[in-house]
Amino acid sequence: MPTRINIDPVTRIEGHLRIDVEVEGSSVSKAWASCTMWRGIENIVLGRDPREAWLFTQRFCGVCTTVHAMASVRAVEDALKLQIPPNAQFIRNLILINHALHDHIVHFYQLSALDWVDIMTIPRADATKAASLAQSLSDWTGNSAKEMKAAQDKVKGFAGSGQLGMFATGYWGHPAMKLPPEVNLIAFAHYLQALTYQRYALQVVGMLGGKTPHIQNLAVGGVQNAIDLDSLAALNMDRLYQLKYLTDSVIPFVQQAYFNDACTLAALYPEWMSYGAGVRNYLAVPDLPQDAQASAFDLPGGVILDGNIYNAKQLYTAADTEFRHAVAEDLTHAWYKGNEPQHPWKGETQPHYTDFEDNGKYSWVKAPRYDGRPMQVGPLAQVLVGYAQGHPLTKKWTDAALEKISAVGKRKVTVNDLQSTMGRHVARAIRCAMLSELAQKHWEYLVANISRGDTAVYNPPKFPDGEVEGVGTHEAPRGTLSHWVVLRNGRLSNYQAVVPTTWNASPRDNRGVPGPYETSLLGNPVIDPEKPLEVLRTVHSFDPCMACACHTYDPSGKPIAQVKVL
Amino acid sequence: MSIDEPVAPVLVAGIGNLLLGDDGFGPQAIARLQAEYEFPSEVELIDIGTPALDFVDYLAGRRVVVLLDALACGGEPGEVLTYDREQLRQRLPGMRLSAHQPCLDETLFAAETAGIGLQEVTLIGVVAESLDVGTELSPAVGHAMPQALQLVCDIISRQGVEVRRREKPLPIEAWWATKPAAAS
Repeated sequence: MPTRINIDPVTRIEGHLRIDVEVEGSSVSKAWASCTMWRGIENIVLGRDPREAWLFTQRFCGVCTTVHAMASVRAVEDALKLQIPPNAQFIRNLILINHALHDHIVHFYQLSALDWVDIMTIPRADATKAASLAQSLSDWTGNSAKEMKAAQDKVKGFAGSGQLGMFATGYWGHPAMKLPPEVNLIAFAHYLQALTYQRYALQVVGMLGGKTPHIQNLAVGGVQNAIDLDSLAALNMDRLYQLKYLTDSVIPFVQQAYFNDACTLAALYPEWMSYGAGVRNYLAVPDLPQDAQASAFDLPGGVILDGNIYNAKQLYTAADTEFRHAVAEDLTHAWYKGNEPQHPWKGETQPHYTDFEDNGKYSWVKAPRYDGRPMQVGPLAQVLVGYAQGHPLTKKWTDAALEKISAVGKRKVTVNDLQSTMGRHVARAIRCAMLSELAQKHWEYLVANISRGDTAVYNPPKFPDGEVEGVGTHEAPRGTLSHWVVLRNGRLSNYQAVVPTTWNASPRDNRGVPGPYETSLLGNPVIDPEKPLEVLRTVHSFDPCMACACHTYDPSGKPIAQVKVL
Repeated sequence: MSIDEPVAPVLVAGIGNLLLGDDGFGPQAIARLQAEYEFPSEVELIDIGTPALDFVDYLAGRRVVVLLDALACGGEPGEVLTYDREQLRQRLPGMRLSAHQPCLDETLFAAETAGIGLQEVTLIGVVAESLDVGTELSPAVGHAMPQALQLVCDIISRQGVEVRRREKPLPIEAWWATKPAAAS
């Protein structure tokens, strides 16, 4: 008899992702991913002025506010065929890069490391040994014995007082936790340091965006940052160097601490490079335009089918013709009216709730398909499409990671091993290291352009009569984000956001083909159905983000894992 | 050059989603406070939206934190309830499935772990009536607004910080209050 595990943040408001798995023997045989909150929030912008849509769309989510603002202005600019000035392009890029640096650091340490790192073993670690081990793995300056001892004392403090606080619900002592106490201590010391370094990246977003969360500096047609090297109130050299100082402070942490920790984790959990591949079709759009025309990009885009990473099709523009036509959303298993796949420009969001039906409708997430196929998006997709094309920066950091993992684990790993649960964490660290280099490069682009005397930041939009369509894309921390707009007589007549988590958390489609989360869980081990740590490891590796749209406080608090034998 | 610039010791943060009816209570309360009261430089008001763990960054360097939020619990819509740090601590954070649903409690624990010592934390909550898509508060929650704002001012005044009501309120900066055009 299979055991059914239902992991559901039961609370109506806070929890939005529900995972159901059936376990036979000791591995997952069936899986369902369900979003339990209606995402019809796009309807709120219908009939509004397209120039203000980004103010609304960045409230879709609490974590990725910036990315929804950016995709929105890009979509309207695409519909108007409106080019933005080079300064605007580079300022936007710096915001996107720094937002992603912050996001990746927080995801790895604060939101997923404790799936792998058993902090309750830390009190018995040898702090001096931990420090020398850490120093042998990397040049990071935060690996002193003093640093390790301080982190250990912190754990001893709350473990001794019985006040576990935010660590109260971890699966400590779980048999799938396999790291030596010293490695756990190193990871936790960096966990604490991460809280500081991610903040520097976020400060860059705040300085350029005027405010964070919810940046205020965008406009359809450019940005609202006044550039004047002679003014104290505008973006001047002093401010630009402040930005550079912040960015430069984050880079060593990313390249020496985070990158190494992700590789070490992969080396010490080799089995997790064989589980969790999931859907092996990958999609990434190009991003970080190098010029005003967006004719070249620093992050390549492309499509890989069936895990064939030696045969990637390149996407050349942010809204490639192929991409425009390939995307459709299937509603067969989603709680919306209609079954036929809909192109986002024709997309409708009319709720039709049934109960959770294993073989019927079971999620508020639509099922996006690319030429009819489910696609995995996110850092792994980005790294694989770049690697397949021989993109130098992608290759540099991917090869460095593979070398590191092979050396620490004493077992040769290849780029193919990245198609796994652990591979998604490694790919995120690779991407973060790439972005840390690009943060400097795009700062230089901006300064070079301003030095030429160019201070333009805005090209005013003109709205035509009649109907025009546009799509704005952004290769966000969690993957390909696209906003699709239809403008009629200067007003929004349709708006659909196809977000990264929609691709990855997609339910089955009209042919019964499951989405990436669902596929990735099949064959996943589960030692103890009461403590489905392994399921969480695979789900968390995607960096799911669907819970942010609503944040009311529920004072009751309820447990969430339920297990029943079928 | 210093990276961490000094911040105001008193933070008033409005939490919630402006697009989901009464969930917008927190951010809307911030806009009202800014329009109706004058605060000295010791007080910072932030419309924080629906933050995750990045909220911790806004707590660094504070002494007193006042949170305004909608409540999803039983009770009469519009009822105003306050919770202090101890009461918030009583509630253990639930296990996270999505990595981005750290609840408020977890944010406060994370702040402690990061070595941020807050002397006083108060959550002023209003029981929500409707969380459906929309930018307007329900009448019940709207009526509760003045009471909640008064509570904020009382907490700040108890710190010996003077809060003055403006004789003539400023216009409320509310991009969300614009009306969409009828479909043409």
